[in-house]
Amino acid sequence: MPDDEREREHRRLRVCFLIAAGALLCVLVLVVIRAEQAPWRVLQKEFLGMGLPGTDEEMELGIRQYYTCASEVDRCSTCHLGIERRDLGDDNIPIPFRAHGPGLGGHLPNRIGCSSCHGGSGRALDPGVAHGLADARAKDPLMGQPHIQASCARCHVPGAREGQERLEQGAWLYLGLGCLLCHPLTDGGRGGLDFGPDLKMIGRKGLGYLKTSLIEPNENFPGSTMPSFRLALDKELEATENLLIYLESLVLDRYPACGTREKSQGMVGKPCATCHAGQEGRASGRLKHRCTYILRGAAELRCTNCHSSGIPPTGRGQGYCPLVKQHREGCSACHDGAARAPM
Amino acid sequence: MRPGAHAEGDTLTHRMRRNFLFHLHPVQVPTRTLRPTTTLGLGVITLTLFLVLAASGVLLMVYYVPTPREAYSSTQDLQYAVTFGAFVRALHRWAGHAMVLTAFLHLLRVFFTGAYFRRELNWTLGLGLFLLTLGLAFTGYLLPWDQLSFWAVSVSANLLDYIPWIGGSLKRVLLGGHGVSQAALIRFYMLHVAFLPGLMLGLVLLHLWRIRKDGGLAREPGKGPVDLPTLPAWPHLLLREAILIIVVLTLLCLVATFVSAPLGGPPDIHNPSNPEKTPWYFLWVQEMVSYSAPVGGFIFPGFVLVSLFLLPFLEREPEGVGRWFGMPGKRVAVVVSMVLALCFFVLFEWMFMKQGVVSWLSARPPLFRDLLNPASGMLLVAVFHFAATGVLVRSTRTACLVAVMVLVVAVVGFTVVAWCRGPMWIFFWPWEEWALAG
Amino acid sequence: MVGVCALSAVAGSVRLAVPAFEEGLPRRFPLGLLSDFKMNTLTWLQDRDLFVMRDHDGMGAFSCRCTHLGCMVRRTAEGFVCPCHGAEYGPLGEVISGPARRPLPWYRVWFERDGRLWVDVGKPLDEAGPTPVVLPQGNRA
Repeated sequence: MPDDEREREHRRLRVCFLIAAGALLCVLVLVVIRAEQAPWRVLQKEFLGMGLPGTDEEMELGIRQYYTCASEVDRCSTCHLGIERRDLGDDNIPIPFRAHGPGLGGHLPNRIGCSSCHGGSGRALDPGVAHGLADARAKDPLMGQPHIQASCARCHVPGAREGQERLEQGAWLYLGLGCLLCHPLTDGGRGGLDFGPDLKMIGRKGLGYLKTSLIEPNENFPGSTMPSFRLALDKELEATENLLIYLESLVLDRYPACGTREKSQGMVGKPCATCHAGQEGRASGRLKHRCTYILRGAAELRCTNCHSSGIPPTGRGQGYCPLVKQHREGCSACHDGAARAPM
Repeated sequence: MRPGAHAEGDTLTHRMRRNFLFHLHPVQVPTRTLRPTTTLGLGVITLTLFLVLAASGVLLMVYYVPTPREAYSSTQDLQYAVTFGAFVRALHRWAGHAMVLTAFLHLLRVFFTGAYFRRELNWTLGLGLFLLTLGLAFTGYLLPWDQLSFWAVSVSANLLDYIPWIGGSLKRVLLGGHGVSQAALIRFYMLHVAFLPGLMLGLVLLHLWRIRKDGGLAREPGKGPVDLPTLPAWPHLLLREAILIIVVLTLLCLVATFVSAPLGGPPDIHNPSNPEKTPWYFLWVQEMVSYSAPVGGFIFPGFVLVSLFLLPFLEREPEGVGRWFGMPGKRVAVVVSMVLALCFFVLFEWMFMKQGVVSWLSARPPLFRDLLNPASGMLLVAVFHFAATGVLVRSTRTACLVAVMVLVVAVVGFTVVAWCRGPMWIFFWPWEEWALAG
Repeated sequence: MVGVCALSAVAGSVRLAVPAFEEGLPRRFPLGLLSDFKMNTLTWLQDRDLFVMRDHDGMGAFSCRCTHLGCMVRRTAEGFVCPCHGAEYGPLGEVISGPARRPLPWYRVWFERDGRLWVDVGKPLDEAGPTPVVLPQGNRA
């Protein structure tokens, strides 16, 4: 190649190099710009721009974290800047800057964080992930009422405090419909094995799965011995939701370190409730044995609780006992020949 | 004028730059080295990606904690809270995937241009580098400790069981136990940040040294540098390489800033995801193992590895070295074999998915399934092509080209099929919705 | 001589990497009381990756991990199926079809003096199926 062509080639190459280097520089600048446009930075600037009284710029900027009693990190207040500020409770303050609604009570965010009640992902600063919307299987968003009541079970026994009414209704339904016979709560009141799988594990499959199991168990698991509760729950939307809230609470981790004042598990965890739930969980003087396949308030066994599509001829007049998977009457409904039922 | 002497003068930095770069490159290079189509620049691209991975990896190490309790949360911190954390993480992830791809393409390029000719050591070094790349990608995959990576690595580690005699022990040493646990995470971390990168660095240096020692890019023997037109390496080769490196960096940064590295939910060690899939570069193995464990896990990959290793020892035709697919006549053979391989592949897959064939095979002892499945089928097709071409054309080079083309079609085909599979490992076309099974 | 030293260093390093102790669950652990496992049932212990079977032939425990690539099998009317690649097993874990080649491994179970059923997952048994087990009270299950 003659010398002047080489020079031209050299010049061409240098120009290309400068253009390429320039493009790289532009892209790096773009990276910095995009980092500046992170949603939480934008929101913080907006908040400061509102110039609300009592806003301290040094306090507000940057990533804000709570270290909760459950040893988790919560960064929700990075965007939800007004959560603990009572003066920002007005309706004209835009969400997310508004203060928490009424009912926080002793649930201080800097002690229990936000995600322990609301679910979602406390460490994330991306709105979709933080609010649990991006990956519904991992941490279902419990963003508000009534499903947030399931989180109360992390620290409290269902029904022990105010504000958990629907969770409590769900717990009584669990007893009243006889779920305890196959899904006991021997594992700290949360799960355990018997004829049915541990609901602490199964519940992780999501609310849709649980609802299908209640209404049509064979759809989830062909050949299942679980009876359908369609007749008990079909038209009762509120009751179904209450039960689902309780089932959801079984899946959630418990936070014993956060400490509450309730001492006992109540009737919910005890095997006695298997038979005594019909009397609202309280033992009366003379124990009246009763099969638990009853609705609250009703006195006799309803065959239709299990037989949603008509009663087969062999089933008439006898109680079904899942202990031996047969229809039995009298004492042997609960007492197998050799063993004795727990008293 | 000495090569590389700068017009502005002979300052210290210029001398340092010159010395280092010019030990890596010869003073004069043939003009064909400069043409993009000769090598497609794949080696330079792969090396750039490795350097990006090393740099971004070191940055990630500032925050990442390799224990099961903290791995996921430290990865979340990197993704959401650390300044530029999401960018560096994405850079690292996409560079890793890209490096596996470009290393593979580089291997194919060297093979199809016959550049392994009389370069047995360098070819072996290159194979070693490719295996190290796969190892690094695999060990890195576990580190985020999310649902996807936990189960992907569990399944991939179980593939080792199918290597006879040593497979079980190998798996136990790799995992430090019987399943993916804290011991596995620490071992994978050690491999990923210390042992494998160290080996890789060493092999890269040897690989570059061998290229110089073997005389630069491969060309037909008998045509030495005296006969070919040449240009000085500075600026013609070096500036071209610099431009390529910068273009790769630019594209990588662009992708990393707009496409985040995925991060799934926290791992549920009792609830595997459905379907459980290995990372994409092992999907072909998983697909073959779903047909037959010994063939898919050991025989097919073993055959590929051994034949690649033995290639420069057995195939020694000097014609057409350095040219794509050698002499023009051989290109026809390669295209024909590719088309034939594709037809056979589709035929085998279609037959194996038919219910009649499935029931016929399940009624018989497992040996039938081992012998009659798409993986064994493609292996036989490759061997048959090799023999037929060798006899017809009387050229080992063409025979090897054709056989490897069949194997490449098989590997890519299995990867694509496995990619499409959904829950219960049922095949779904890409436009079909996956029927979610519980 | 230097070569011998180097070789022994490499051998020693490899020996270090071979795990000398098990992380996580021990090989023998308790599963529960007799009353936790009802007659004629198959109980799935999800956090132990085991099924426990109890019927008139006795009791037994077997793994719920498919022998192909380690996914958890699911119960069906005819036995078990693996969701990962469709391997099918019979009701006692024997292979019916699919890429699995070995049946689900069964493990030895016995009752300790504390009244709990224990299992040893380190040693798979040769035969599948529940076997008679001596109860803490001395009679058979």
